[in-house]
Order: sequence, then C-alpha cells, then structure tokens
Amino acid sequence: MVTRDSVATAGSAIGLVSLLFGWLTLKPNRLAAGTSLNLWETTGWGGTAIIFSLWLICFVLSLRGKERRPAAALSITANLIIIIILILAGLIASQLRQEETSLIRISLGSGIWLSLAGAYMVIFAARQRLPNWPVWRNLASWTGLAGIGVLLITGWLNDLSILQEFAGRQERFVQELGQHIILFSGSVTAGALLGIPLGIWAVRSKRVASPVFFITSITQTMPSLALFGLLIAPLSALSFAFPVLREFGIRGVGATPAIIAIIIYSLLPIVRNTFVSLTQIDPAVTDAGLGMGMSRFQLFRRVQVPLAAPLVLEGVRTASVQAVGNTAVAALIGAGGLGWFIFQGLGQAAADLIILGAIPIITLALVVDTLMRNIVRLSTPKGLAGGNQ
Amino acid sequence: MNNRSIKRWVFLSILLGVFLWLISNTQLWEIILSTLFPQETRVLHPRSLPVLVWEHVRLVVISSSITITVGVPLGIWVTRPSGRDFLPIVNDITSFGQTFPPVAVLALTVPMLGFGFLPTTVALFLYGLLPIVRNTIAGLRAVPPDILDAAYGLGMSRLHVLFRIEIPLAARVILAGVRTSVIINIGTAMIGAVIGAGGLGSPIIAGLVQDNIAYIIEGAVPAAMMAIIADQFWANIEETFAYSTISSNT
Repeated sequence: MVTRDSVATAGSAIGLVSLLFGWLTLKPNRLAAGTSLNLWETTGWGGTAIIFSLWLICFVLSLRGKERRPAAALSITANLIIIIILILAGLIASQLRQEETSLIRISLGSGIWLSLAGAYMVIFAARQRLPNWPVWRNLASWTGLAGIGVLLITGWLNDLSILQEFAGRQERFVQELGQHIILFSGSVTAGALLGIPLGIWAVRSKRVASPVFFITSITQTMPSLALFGLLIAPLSALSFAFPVLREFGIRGVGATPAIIAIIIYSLLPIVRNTFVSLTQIDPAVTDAGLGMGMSRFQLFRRVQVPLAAPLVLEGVRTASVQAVGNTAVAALIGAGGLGWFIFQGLGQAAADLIILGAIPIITLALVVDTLMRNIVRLSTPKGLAGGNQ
Repeated sequence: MNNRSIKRWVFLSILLGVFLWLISNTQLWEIILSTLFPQETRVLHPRSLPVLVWEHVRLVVISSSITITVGVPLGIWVTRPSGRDFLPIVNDITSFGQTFPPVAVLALTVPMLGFGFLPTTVALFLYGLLPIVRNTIAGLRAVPPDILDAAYGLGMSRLHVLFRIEIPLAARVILAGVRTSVIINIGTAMIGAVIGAGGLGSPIIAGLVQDNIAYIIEGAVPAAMMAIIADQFWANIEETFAYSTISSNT
C-alpha cells in the first residue's frame, strides 16, 4: 500500500529547493534596486541548519504522510517552519537596520515566499488526513496564521519593508480602508435593494425577464475601467449642465461613477440568483402553503423567502467579492480606497507601496468571502442544509 | 449547425464587421469627438486606435492561449489516477484564488517582474488559469460514471475514453471556463496600461491624467465592444458544440 502523500512530498521538495533562492532582499532605500541575500548570508549556518532540517523532516514524514500520526507530525513541522522563518526574518531585519542606516529596506525574498507556499501545501495535505481529529485539524490549520498574527501585533516584524511603508502611512491606510469598505458595501447594498425586487419582478413577468438579463449580462462582460470611462462622460456633462449637483459631490470622476458602476456589476449575480431561487421552489411546497390557508403575503414571508434566501445571499456574496476588486480599480478614477496605494506605488515604482495596497485588498476579499459564506450557511433552513450549495 | 446557431454566427460577424469598420475609421472618431468636446485641442490619443486595439488583442490572445494550453491539461491531469492526489489542493487554490481581485494579482507581479508587457502577460496567464482549471475539473467529474463503465466495458482504452467520451461531454463546461477566463483577461489587460503594457487602457489612463474625456471615450467604447464580441464568440462556440454533442448522441 502506498502511504506517500504526493502533495506533501511536493510541498516539502519545494521547501527544500526554496532554500537556494534569495532569502531577503536588501535595498539602500525604498526606491532603489535590491540585492538579494542567501539564506546562509542572513541567518548564518545555525539558522540554515534549523530550517533545512525542518524541511528534511517534513520530506521524510511525507513519505508516510497518508497515515495519521505522520500527518499530525507533518502539520506541526510545517507550521513551525512558517513561524521560525518569520521570526528569523524579523530578527535579521532589525539587526541589519541597526548596523546600517535606517533608510535601508529589507523585504522577504522569493525563497521565503516559496517556502511559505511549500508549507501551505504540506499543511493542506496533512489536514486532510486528520478528519477525525478535530483538535489536530484546527491546530494544523490555524497555528501558522495565528503565529503570523502574533508576530505582526507584537511588532516583531516592524523592520520589514512593508510594515515600514505602513508605519509612515498609518492614518492614510485606515482612511482608505474605511473608504474601500464604505464604497463596496454601500454599492452592493444598493445593488441588492435594486436587484432583489428586479429578480422577483422578472419571475412574475417574462416581458421583464429577457431585457433585464440581456442588459445585465452585457454590462457584466464590460471591463470595469471601460464602464467607469463610459459613466464619466455623461456624469461630467450632467454636472457641467447642473452645477448644483457638484455640491452633492456628483462629478465626472470620483466616487459617483464608481458607485454607479459597482451597483451595475452587482445586479447580474443578484438578479440571476433571485430569479433562479424563486423559480426552483417546488410548486408542491407553495400549494401546500396555500392549502394550509396562508395568504399570499404569508406564503411569501414564511415559505418563499426562507427557501430563496440562501441562493439570493450567494448572489450577494459573488457581487461583494467582485465589488472589492472593482473598488480597487476605482482608485484610478479618483474614488479612493486601497487601490490608491497600488496606483501610487505603480506611479512611483515603489514596490512596498504596491504591496501595501495589494495584500490588504486580497485579505479584504478573502474576509468578505468567508463572512458571506457563513451568512449563507446560517441562512440555510435546516431542511435544505447540505442540499442547496 | 442548426438555424439558431447560424443566426448567432451571422449576428456576430456583423458585430465584428461594425467593430473593425469603426476602429479603422479614425477620421470618424475625430469628427464625432471634436463635436462632442469642442474645448479639447486633441481628441485622439497620440497612438492610433488600430494600434491600441492590436496591442490589446495581442496581449489577450497570447496570455489566453498559454492559459488554455496549460489549464486544460492541468485540469485533466488532476482527474487522472496519477494526479488525483493533487485534486483537493488544486480545487482549494482555484476557489480561493478566484476571490483575489485581478488588479491585486496584476499589481503583485510588478515587484517581482517589473513593468511592461511580460509581467502583464504573466498576471493574465495566472489569473486566467483559475476558471479554466476549475471548469475542466467540474466538467470531467460531471460525466456520469455509468457512461465511463460502458465505454471501458466496450474495451476502449483510457486515452480513447478521455478523447472520445470525457472531453466531448465536458466540452461545454470547459468552454464556459475559457469564456470567463478570456473576458476577465480583456478587463484586466485594460489595467495593464498602468504598468506599461499598452492597449486600450492607455487612452483612458491618459484621459484621466490630462482630464480629457475624449480620450476616455476613445478607450472605453472599443474596449466594451471588444469584450462583448469576445463573449459572444465563445458563447457561440459553446452553443454550436452543445448542439453537435446532443445530435451525435441521439
């Protein structure tokens, strides 16, 4: 019987190979080109030996990775690797910055990123072998992430370049994060308030359904930058013709076209899912409700809404995740949000500033996705659980 | 091909014809835009419209072709016995990878690969892989097992089953993935203009910087048309394919 776990073996192999790549990148200042330092040049031979032997242990364990005990050991080792790599990186960054001028920037090199990717593969594979050990499974999934969280909060990693970039712009960051959240959540809420009634209307009348789906699916295919552009022209003409509008903040560029575009993008997933959720309700269920003497309103409120809710919310989830990304593009037309850092960073060719925008945007998208998935799960009636999605 | 799909192809050809005629008629744009925006001294981007469209198409075609040639075999491999171990992790990566906003992926390639055509192509390729791999897996796994049993029972080899049974039955879902991937690529390539990849994003960015709405329209209208044409093209291929599979089954 084969007990080798190929995914964990591949992950460990990636981890071992990663040690040959540049470990940390050193730049004389935030805009200069970097020189890359090897693992042994940064951590010394002691650190290299520790990381190398941990990866070697992973590799050996992975050869029996389909069994439970080796899998549990694998998951611990991989989590340890993540934490140790980052502890060492933070430590070395502080040392280097004390020795040299404080202008130098130290960022994680491709070796560290590869190692982290390898660790993810190992943890993912090991986790699957622990289905009946919930404690181990949770430990395996969360230890590394929790470790990163602790290192970030305690300031251990503060000498890494991304956090330095953050330190200089803390206020701006909080402001743009807030703007991002307000823009995307406000627009998606408006999209839902429009889209759900539209979906219900489309179910009731065929004449409404086809043009609604035609228009929303056409706008959905349009590139976001093009849709922003197409909205800028009429809006600026409007604000030019009626200067009063400008007092309300309605201008060609800025938040207004962004909000309108994101509402338009939210419509398709929400309308489509509302439509599908209502049409897929078994007529026998509605008949039963009517037979019990429910009024139309009661039927809607007590039968149709609970049955349709999970799928409708699933549409809102799709729309929200998409909106987080489109809001990032909206920074180009002056709407603000976390995309501002990306485009500022691209303009100045400042890598750290780009990353300061990109990573929080990805994190925000993942958080919104997880949150909405849980809301969908909670809204699913017990009788439907497991069936619907 | 039946009547319905012939009609769709005719409609698409007309749309494509109109598009080509529009982008090759630079003078028409100049006349319309300068009537709409008399205050602007320049209404057309210094690089001509056909060149911008060509840059955009080239970017999307190159990245999408690499995506398809890598993504479909990858999806097939993880559903074969040799790659089955990797199926869960590939599923996991494609599902959370699709949560990543494309702009963020594009932005992150710059610190690694710098500015220009290459990092944009790499970002488009990576991001475009997700829907294709995902749909290839979904399509292949949706093939009913009894059909496969019947095929093996007839003495077909694994390769035969793959090419004669599984891929034709999964084609529709795989093509839907390709369609999504191409549309996302066209949209993301717009933003590639910010990192110096050219294309139809360039006049929009220039228009935003110089506050020239004529430029913005010059970029936005052809881009929107291009996306719609590409979407219809893949929808038609999907449709034509689906009909032929059904008719060959009966």
